[in-house]
Amino acid sequence: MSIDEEPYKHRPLEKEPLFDKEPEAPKPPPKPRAPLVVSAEEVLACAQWARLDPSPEEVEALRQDLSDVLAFARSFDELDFTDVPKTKYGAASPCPLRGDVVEPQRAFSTLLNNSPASQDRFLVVPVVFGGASDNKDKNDGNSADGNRDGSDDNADSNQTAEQAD
Amino acid sequence: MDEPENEPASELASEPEDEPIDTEPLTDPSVPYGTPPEQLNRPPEPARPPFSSVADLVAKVRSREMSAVEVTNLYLTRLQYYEVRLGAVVRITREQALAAAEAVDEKIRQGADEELFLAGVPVVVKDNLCTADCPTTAASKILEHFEPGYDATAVERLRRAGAIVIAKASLDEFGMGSSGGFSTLGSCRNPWRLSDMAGGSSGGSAAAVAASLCMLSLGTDTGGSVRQPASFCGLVGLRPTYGLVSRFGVIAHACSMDQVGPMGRYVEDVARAMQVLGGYDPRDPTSLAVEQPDYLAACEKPLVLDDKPVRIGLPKEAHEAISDPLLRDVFETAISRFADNGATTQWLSMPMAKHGLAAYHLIAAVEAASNLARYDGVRYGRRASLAEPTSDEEVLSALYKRSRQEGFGPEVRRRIILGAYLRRFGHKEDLFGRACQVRTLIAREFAQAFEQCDVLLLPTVPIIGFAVEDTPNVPLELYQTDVFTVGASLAGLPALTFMAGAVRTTTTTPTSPVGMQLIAPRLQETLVLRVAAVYQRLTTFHKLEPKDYLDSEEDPFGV
Repeated sequence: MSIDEEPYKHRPLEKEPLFDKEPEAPKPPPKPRAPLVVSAEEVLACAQWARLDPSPEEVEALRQDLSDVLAFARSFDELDFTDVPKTKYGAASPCPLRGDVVEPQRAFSTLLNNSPASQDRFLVVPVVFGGASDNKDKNDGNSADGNRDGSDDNADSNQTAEQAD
Repeated sequence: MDEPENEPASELASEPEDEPIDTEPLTDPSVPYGTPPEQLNRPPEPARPPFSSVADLVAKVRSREMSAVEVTNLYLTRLQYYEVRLGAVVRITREQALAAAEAVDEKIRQGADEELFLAGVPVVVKDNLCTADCPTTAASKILEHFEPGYDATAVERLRRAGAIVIAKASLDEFGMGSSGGFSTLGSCRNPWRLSDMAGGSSGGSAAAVAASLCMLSLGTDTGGSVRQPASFCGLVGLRPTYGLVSRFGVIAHACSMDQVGPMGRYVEDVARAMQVLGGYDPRDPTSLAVEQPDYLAACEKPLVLDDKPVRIGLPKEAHEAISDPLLRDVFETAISRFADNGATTQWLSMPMAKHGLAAYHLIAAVEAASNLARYDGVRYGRRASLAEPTSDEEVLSALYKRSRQEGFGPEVRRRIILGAYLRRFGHKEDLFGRACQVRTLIAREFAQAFEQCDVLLLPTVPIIGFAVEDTPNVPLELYQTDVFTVGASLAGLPALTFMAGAVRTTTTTPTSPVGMQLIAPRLQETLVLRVAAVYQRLTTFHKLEPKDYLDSEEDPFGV
């Protein structure tokens, strides 16, 4: 079989005329978007939670995008979920866990070099104490631990960078 | 981690500094895509590599007909030359590659090459797989200077087999995208047709193999990110069973579906890569402890299972969903090729599959929002510079928010917000829970289908490709290209795309490859490889080479 003949089988010679130039296909009209069901307040609350700072234009776009996806998920309504368990993990057996033993780790300097700012063997973070505490978001306080104890924080960083989970 | 803690500070200070990482800048990034060759002031066009397959290259290197260094130089020259037009890689690792090639040559000289199953094979690795000798960015600003300092297991295994990592491939940021256009580092073009996207998210890995800038590449597949670009670029791309290839060192997108997969030009090339990649890894808690089959041997077997013809199932709904007559034509021709050559084919109904896309995007968004919470601008990654804060209490919150807002691209932010929304406001309807139930239903539907057939055949992507300017800017429209690939992702099944045909709409437009997908039951990689290898023996499509990226812009068939 020769390379030259084979692909021509799929050329639409019989079905359509060949054009010298690509025909200018009329652009299909934009598909209608779903009605807005997500409020700007909800988007901002999610942004606060996810620690993002979207601009007002981005909030508007996100309202529409989220509404689109939620409308898309309406197709679930036609399904019967009685006695259907939830699949939340991809893992299947046999997946043995490794032994709980300390293994050699990467060079401390490699880990520290990845922080945005460091000094000696500590991560440098902006000063966050000294004024009114932020009660709105408890996690902020926890993360500030890095200021006091560089190595703890690094252990954490090691874990997140190393393990895909 | 106890070790550094207990050591006195002085010893730490005397620890040798990590060598600065020597990576070569890409060829003049200011030159725009599509610049005519005569304006480029370039050296003569590099020759095509003289290897017919990965096996051929390995044999030549191991018999010392060519050294690994020579091979590496040859591919580095091509990479340097064509990269400017394709945008396939984010970083070329010339020095590291040449050093690794030297080490492979040394092993061969000493006769210690039994394990070098991929001796001297140039590979490109998607930039969300960690590499010890160069930064890993996931194409995100937030990780622009991240140096993992270790190899992902998949990369480590390739290197141990003698493969040479010559570059890190471009991708959609954190693997989120279906176009190759959501990268902070520019979009990746399709070598078959430069006006088209290479696809995503492993677009760079696919474009690099298609343009012979490397022999094999690694991508990651969450919802189709290996199969879709491999299909657009006329390659073989395999998504292995979830857990078969270790995820250790993969920058997470959606953990319950992420999987590393190889891409190559021929089925045998991909099988050879799987021979090295598969296998239990204690560092990945979801890694499967199963015996590895002989993937290469599977490529030589006929379409017969237990003395019966292989039964190929054809999802009716997939056929109905194709609107492009050319794509339908290729699908139907592929079916008849299999039917004429010993397989039995039968149409099946899989009505649940259409819900897969919504379920996939809800689940992936929730998992991505959790996975990406770790990037805070404090422990590693990019930190935003803060303007004068108004009060103490705002400092930390602003630091996180600005670092993340500036560090993540628009598609990543969109998915994080969607994930946050589903967890925070989705409770009313438990959308995430229902998506997880749909996942169960889809897995059941696959199980039922596999009672009637051995393997499923359907197109990989519902379109043949999309031009850069036609890339949909409405996310939901772009997500539609994943409709045929998310099923195997949700169910954790092995799926392989292979080039089943080539089409072109007019005599003046370049040819576009068309991929078909095979899905098999869990851990039946050998079956999809076997069926695709039979197709390759029956046709010559896989021997076509893209030419649109060359200076001499010839169509493969001439006009």
